[in-house]
Amino acid sequence: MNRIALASATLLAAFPVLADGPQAAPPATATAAKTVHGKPQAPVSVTARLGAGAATVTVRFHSAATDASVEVHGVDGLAVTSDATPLSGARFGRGEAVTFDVAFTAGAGRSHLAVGVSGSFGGTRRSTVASFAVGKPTPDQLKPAGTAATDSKGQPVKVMPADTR
Amino acid sequence: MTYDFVPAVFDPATGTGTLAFAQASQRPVRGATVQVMKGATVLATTSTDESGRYGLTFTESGTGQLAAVVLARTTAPAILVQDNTDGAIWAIGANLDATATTMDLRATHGWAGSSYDPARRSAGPFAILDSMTTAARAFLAVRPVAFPPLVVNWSPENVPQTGDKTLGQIGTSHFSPADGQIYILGKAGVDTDEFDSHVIVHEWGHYFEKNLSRSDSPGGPHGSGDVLDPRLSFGEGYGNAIAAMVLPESTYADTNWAGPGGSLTAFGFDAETPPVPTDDPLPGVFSETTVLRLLYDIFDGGSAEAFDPVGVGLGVVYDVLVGPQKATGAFTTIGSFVAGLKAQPGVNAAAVDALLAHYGIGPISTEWGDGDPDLRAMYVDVTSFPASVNLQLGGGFEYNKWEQNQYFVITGSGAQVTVSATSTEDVALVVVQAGQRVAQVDQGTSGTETATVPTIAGKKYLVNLVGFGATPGNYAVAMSFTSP
Repeated sequence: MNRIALASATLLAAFPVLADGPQAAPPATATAAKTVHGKPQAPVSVTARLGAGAATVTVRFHSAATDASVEVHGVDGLAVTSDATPLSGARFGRGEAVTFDVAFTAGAGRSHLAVGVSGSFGGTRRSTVASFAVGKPTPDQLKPAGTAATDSKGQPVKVMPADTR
Repeated sequence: MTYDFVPAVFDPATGTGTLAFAQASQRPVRGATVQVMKGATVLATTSTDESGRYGLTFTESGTGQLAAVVLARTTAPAILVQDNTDGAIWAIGANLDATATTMDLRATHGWAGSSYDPARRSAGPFAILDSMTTAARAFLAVRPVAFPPLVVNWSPENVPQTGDKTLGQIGTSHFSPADGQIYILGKAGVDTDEFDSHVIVHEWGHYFEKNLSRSDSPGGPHGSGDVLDPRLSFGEGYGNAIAAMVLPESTYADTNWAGPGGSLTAFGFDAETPPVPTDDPLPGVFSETTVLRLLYDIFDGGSAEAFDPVGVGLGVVYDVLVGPQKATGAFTTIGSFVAGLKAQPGVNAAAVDALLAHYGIGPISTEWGDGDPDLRAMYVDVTSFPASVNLQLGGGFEYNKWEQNQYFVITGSGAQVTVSATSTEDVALVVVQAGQRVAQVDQGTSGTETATVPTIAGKKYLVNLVGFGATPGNYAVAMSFTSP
């Protein structure tokens, strides 16, 4: 795996390329790459362009995938009116992306469009879910859960009702 | 004081799993703060014991309702779970009769069969607290550890959408090095992680790394089968391995609502036993799955595995993490960990080498990866000035993959050193000394990036060349090193 050429002798390296896809990942920069140590999940990124009652969703596969499927559904009152399974049993190369449209009826106030992606990546079945907020929350939705209190240090506390005996 | 624990289950044989509400059980809330309140006034405070019991005396005074409140906060270790949408500590409470001598409180999961009852969904913060307490106490059982305070953020509004964290848009469950806090998903019908104890402890492991050990990982997207930058493969494999060690439970499970019609499902993996066919198609130092199983085998007894004669236990793992892994002059990889492990008293280096060989890794003998050609090739020693190095990076891969990274090692002389990288593609330079970033340049999307750093004689400086070339295929980078 030597990819180094010392001094001026250029040596073309032999990389263990896993799977080339026709579409490359979007360029990033070191300064834009925010370090976050997230949980393991399917190596995909999901983006959506939201419109009135519709979204254009793009799923980009950062690793090659087989038996990939996409499920879309609504949360907090949002109802998907188009195919809830836009993709099933598909195969993608690393860097490939798929774009599809989703039609929905938004819920009252703020609701969410959820996009679940699952597939086999490098021999392992993995999944991930992305969600996209639609609309603005109602006053009821903004109402905090529980009862407000403070602890002995003056820090705010949110008290949920307990079962007792 | 108890909370409803809901097991997150995953069967590696069938590849299926879920949150098993039918198997929920009541577990004690350990070490949590209990307050007796009269209106807004705190009359008395104590903590629950190992069984969740508490006792206190108070004199009723003031006005308002008398209540017992249990906070999702412990003091030893200091962990609190708050709602990132408003900054309030999660708690449960109930009105208290002044004549009562006992008050048992229970935080409930609130699952009503097909959805949560929001008013009764109070167990989540206590489940998170308990998983992290378990992790901390596993280490405290084998070594004295001064854990720094930890803030965990959970909300039923926390969604897998990147944006404003005060709106619940946390992206995913993660540890944020920027603020040192952990964020956990909680949106029902999308992705909830409060009962996914391996996810919780995985993120706790990153908190441990940041505060007690060290991580040079660039972070970012990763997955099984990826050929990762070895700092990332170590960091992520370590996070999963620590969860398996301390819970202790070798099967990782992460539940979400990605199933048909938004149904509950799960994925996971077994830290001990790979499936057939394997989930580690490219084993070695760049695979997080290799690192996961290697670390777990280093930890466990392995009596049933002929290839695994190593079983050092959690104490030695801790010693390596807070000792040589933290102090390494190299980057934090499986190389620095194994070199540090072999230096521990009583560790059989030959047995470790046998285990490494099982995972396709050479007999690592130094923190620089000597013994494993793949890892050693990550580091290029720059021994004199001026020097130039021409190399190829792999375009089309993300910035955190092996193909887009190369390390250079400079020994300081006390003089200034200037490093330049020239390419038609976007590249960046990061200069690190003993884990501390001393310079970073990423000025343009092509051309030359130049970093100039003063050096201290005898100190090792690591230059990380990072590529962002987006077009699939190799691209050239010309490196130059000068020092007056």
